[in-house]
Amino acid sequence: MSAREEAVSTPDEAVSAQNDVASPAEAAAGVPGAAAPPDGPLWGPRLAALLFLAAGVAVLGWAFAIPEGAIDQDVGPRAFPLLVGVGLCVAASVCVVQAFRGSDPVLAEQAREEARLTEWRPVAALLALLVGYLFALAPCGYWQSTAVLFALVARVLGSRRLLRDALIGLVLALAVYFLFDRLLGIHLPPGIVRLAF
Amino acid sequence: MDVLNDLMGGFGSAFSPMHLLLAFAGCTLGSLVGVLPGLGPATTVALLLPLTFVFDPTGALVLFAGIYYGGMYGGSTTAILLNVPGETASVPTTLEGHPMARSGRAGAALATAAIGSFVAGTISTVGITFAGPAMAQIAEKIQPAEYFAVMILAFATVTAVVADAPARGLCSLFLGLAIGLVGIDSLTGQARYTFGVPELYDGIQIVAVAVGLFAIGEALYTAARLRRAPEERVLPVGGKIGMSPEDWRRSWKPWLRGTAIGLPIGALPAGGAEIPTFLSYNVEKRLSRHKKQFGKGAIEGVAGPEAANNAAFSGVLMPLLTLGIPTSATAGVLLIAFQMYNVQPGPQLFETQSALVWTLIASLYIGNVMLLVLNLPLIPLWVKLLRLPRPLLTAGILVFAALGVYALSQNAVDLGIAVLFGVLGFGMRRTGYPVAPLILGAVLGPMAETQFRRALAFSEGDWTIFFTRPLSAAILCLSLIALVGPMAARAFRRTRGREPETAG
Repeated sequence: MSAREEAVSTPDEAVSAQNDVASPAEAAAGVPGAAAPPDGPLWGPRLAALLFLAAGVAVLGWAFAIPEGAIDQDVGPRAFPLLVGVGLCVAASVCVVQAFRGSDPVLAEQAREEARLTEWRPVAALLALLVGYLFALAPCGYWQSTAVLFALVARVLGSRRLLRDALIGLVLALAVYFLFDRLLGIHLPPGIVRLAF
Repeated sequence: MDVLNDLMGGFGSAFSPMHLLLAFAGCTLGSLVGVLPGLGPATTVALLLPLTFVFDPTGALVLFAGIYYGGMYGGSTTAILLNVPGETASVPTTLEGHPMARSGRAGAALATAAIGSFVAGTISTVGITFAGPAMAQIAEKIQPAEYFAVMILAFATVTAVVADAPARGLCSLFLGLAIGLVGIDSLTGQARYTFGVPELYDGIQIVAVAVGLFAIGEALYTAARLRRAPEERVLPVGGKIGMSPEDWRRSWKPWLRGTAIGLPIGALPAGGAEIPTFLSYNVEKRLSRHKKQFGKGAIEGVAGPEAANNAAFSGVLMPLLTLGIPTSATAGVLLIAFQMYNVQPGPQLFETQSALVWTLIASLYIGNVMLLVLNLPLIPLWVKLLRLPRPLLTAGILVFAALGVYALSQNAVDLGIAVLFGVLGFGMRRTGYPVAPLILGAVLGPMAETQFRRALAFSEGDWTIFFTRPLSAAILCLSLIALVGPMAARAFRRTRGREPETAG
């Protein structure tokens, strides 16, 4: 652990400049980490535990909706889902108790660290891009939407050379399209502008 | 000498130009993707899974054997030069390999990792060759109750080893099992958890789950921490890649010891690579004449764990091929690959798919040699790859993840599922839930249910069958110990060690 911290705590301006990412100074401004309340970041593990519990209840509830098969069967299609549902509920309950009591110092430390390092905006932007891609794929075509996806993802993640990224994205998308659609026979949506080759 | 005949037949097929080319492509692709930071072997195999759609089953599995071994080789490069373990089993390599690289001995560290992996991989493959068919014969006699118990054991060990807290591991496991429930029940044809959505009748595409959890989850995680987490620095490979006579002298015993520790533990149906790797690290530390070097770059600490890691990973193929039970996340993804080709690993595999199995085993030997030959000279190239700007790398990973998932059924539904699981994987990683049990649950769940119901049909509905059959009861006891043991040990240490501290 200590070796890792030593290694990463040597900031190298040259490396980050070479990688075209926003300067660390800019990102470091307004980091709330230090001022966070002692168990503030625990909302993450707490929410997760509650969601697991909700999933358990749902699995259990829907298990009862499964009609049992023929009577001559010893064990129908409902038994195993019931077991899984009960298991999930029990395990999640333990997690809920642990998360709300804050009895796990390792987890608390991890949660604090994550909260300190997390920026939500790029995550949301990335998700929005992926969902957009999902819907753009069929109408706009594979290589068109993929080139755009590549450039925009790189931008969201801090790259500042849009033109270069777009060019790389286009070449990559066309290469994939040609290899998979034309050579390997895996159909990818062509979109409105069809390629001549 | 049936085994030798079969193996020769396997080599005959593996040496065909097409299969050699596929093995080569697999090794190269596997190392290439495995070397990228953040992509451990499980992610590597999941990402490359869909690229095999166009080949016949044998060719695809030869490709996969290469990807599997290549992904493991790649991981040690990232661990040594970047201090990023691709997965838990690479942690010991970062402990010694990275300090070695920092003191300008990266070349020796990379060489001992590569040669050690080769030695361990080859010895383990010999092990699989001879023990595999025997294990399959034993496995054939196993009754459903015992089969179910063995699966529980696999679940328990993966859950317990990966998680600090077993409750979180169990949550992950049960969620995976729940995902495996979606679709038509194989025994009665009833639709379960499909909510009337026809796309769900075949179940959730497990490839979409794996790619989402690993690749998309990783991309989201990178996005979240990109600006605030300090940039990792790639160390230059100083000097020649190779080992001095002194390095050889200090490496060869750890290689063999690592193999001896890794292979049997990996080959157990409760295997995995974490335990043997850490075990080997401790053994080397204890036996070494250079104890003071440990933590500062002792070559034994790279040689032993890397060999143990590789031996365990090869050993994992044993329960996978003979029982159809994966004991690590990577093996889980490999099982998906088998199933995509309607090849069901298990006791009958050696009989029904004899040609396929032996070609696969032969190509493991070939892949090992190729990786050694490929890797040492190509290390400078991998180093360049490590320096790719992170934004472009992540964008590329997303493009390939999306391609693979979309190519599955050529509609966007699976892509949507993958994105959902990406969010899940991201959330689980942030809140301390391991994802490996989830993948195993989703992959193994349907099989576990089948065996469970067969066992109960056999006993005419008597649920005590799992505890009244001695073998089954013993295996279930082991599972309980595997699950509760670490927790009990921790509690014991806590009550003894720091009583005054735990006031609240």
